[in-house]
Amino acid sequence: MIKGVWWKISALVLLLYAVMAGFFITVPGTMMGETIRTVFFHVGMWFAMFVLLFLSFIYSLRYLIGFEEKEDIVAVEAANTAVCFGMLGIVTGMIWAKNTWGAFWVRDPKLDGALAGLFIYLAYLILRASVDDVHKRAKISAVYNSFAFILWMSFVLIMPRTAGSSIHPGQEGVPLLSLDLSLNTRLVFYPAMAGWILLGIWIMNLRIRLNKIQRSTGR
Amino acid sequence: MEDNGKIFVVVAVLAVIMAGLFLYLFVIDRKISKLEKALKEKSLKEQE
Repeated sequence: MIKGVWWKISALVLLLYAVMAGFFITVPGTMMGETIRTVFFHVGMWFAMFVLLFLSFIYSLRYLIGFEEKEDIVAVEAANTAVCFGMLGIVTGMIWAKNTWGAFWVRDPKLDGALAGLFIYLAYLILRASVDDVHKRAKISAVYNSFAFILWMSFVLIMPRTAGSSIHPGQEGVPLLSLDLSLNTRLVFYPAMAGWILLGIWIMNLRIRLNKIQRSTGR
Repeated sequence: MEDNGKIFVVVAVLAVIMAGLFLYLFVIDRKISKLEKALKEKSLKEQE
């Protein structure tokens, strides 16, 4: 699917840079204090998840056009990897929340939306597991998946913004552009996000290839 | 953050973990490539 080794090495370089620069830079004294550094890692989980879910969505649509098995394989493995990143995103967020808001979970549109979004994709995986016929499974889950992505975006990206009551950082204005980060922080943040996305795509790529090997050996 | 000048120890630990995990991914990647190659050769032989 994706050839070459350069993008795997870039993922390593970008994340090594994030881990090092992420702790060496000085951060401005905001209400978040030193915990602003979490943004290089926790938010990376969501960036990777978003890109993987987007790929899953695109490949589900492609499956519905041509009904080719390989498109379905990409769709499911992208979703599988995305769920893994999503769980890490939730758990890392909970650690930060305990420290910042005093509880692991608070009633907040962003947090509840993220959890609901995760459930949407767990349902997708359960739906797949419950259909035995390969073609039927691919078709049904591709239809579900095309709705799932729209729902996920509204739960995680749109509704927390329109609700206007989220205390989660970065919920005002345009996503990304409105992030209240200093120049120093941005110089680590964007490369870190690119690194996490590449890492997610790499793991997805490994899963796709394993899936194909499994199918061609009859399991 | 660099109050006591020891943050580099934490950074070194994290960098080693990062590098180690990536090395592991490279190894898995190579294993899968070998499997793919073996499967291809097998299916070519069966066609003959």
